[in-house]
Amino acid sequence: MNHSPLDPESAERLLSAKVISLDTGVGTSAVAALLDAARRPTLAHELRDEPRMVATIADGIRAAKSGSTSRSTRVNPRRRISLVAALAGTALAATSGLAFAGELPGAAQGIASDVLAKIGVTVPGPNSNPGTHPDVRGGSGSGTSSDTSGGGSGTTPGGSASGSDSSQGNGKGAEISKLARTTTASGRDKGAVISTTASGGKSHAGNPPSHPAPPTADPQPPRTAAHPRVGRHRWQLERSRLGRERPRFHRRPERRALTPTGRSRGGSSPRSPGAFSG
Amino acid sequence: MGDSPFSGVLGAAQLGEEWAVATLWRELHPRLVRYLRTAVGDDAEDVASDVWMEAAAGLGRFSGDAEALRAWVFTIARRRLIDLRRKNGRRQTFATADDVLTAHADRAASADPEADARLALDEALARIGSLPRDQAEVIALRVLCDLDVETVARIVGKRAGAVRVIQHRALKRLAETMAAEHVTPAPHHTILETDDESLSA
Repeated sequence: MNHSPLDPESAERLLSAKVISLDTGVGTSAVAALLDAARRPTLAHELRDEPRMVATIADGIRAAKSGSTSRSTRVNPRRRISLVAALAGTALAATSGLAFAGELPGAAQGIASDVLAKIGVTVPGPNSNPGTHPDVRGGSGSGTSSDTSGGGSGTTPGGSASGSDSSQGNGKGAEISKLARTTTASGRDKGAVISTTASGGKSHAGNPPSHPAPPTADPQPPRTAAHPRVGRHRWQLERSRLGRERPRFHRRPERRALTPTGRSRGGSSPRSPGAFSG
Repeated sequence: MGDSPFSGVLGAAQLGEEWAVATLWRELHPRLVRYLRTAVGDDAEDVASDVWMEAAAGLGRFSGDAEALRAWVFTIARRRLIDLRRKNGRRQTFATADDVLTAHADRAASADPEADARLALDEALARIGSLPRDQAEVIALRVLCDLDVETVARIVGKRAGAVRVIQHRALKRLAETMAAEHVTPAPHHTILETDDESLSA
């Protein structure tokens, strides 16, 4: 039944529709006819849905085109995962490096030391890293969270206590914490006791003086070197809180024009005390 | 449609111009449906719609000539077929050998040329679809999609030599099957067209 002496070259010629010879056998001739039928030009029924399909495709193209701008700014989910993994890896490597060098803050160094010790890696502990950072978690000596909440109400306004306390070590924190636990005062008095101790007598929180001190002869407000304007404002607030005057906004003195010689034409300097209402 | 006119048509189609989309659709859709019919039979139109929508979404980023566009569209179609086969298992819906023989027998009784051509096309697609899957795919891409061996090899992920072996086996198988059935070519099939450059002309 070998009616098809079809070699690879003949097969390629049939498929590429180049040279056709039908004298190679019945089966091969039938194959050539079959391929010819398959290549037949488009029949009418194959285009029957053209208007609907073309309109739908054109809409799809336009929709994709209008959405391409926003899509280009969107991060590919795979890329996003890679980015997050890279960032996490970088953070882990940096943290591990700092842990090996013993440069992490004390509490973090302790955690890193504990975790790495479980996998057999020895890194310096918190005590090997002297510095200003607290060595234990929480950073307030033996105090607990409930303890710090009691003492926290007495901090001075402006938050300057934390900055000064950090340089004094844990001793003062422990002292304040102990005072907060042991004092017999309660409520407002307790806050006053704690804040007074914590601020070294500077704070009057919870204990405003009933008899304000007489005004000093010089109403010059205290000024800080770095932020004189802030110092003036706080001074005004302090005075108003003590009931001596109502807070007010101060108009900035007019800037005097300088003469060509550099002298002011006005009678007084804009920074003179008289420019501020006392 | 040479490369320069093709570029103009493609550029307009990428902007959503309906006349340009219609030009591409008339060139590609009949081939696409014929290719899909060898694999999924009567579901070919539905799959072709999905292929076109996917092509519409990516047409704005396409660049290349007519043959590259054809290869791209049929790559999409092949991926759709793979997805469909995964979803439906190995179920095949194309015509069986009995359908082919029945259509072939009925063709002689038909007097309408359009109907005659349609039956001949159906028979050809059914016979190609009855081949083993890899052979049917290669023959369909070579004949129906008018792609060369290298392009077909890229689409199916095989070497060009392997594609030539597959197409040779496929034609031998068809020839043996049709010889066994004593299928003879119709008189108008004595000479095949020498060039089919409908897309690139």
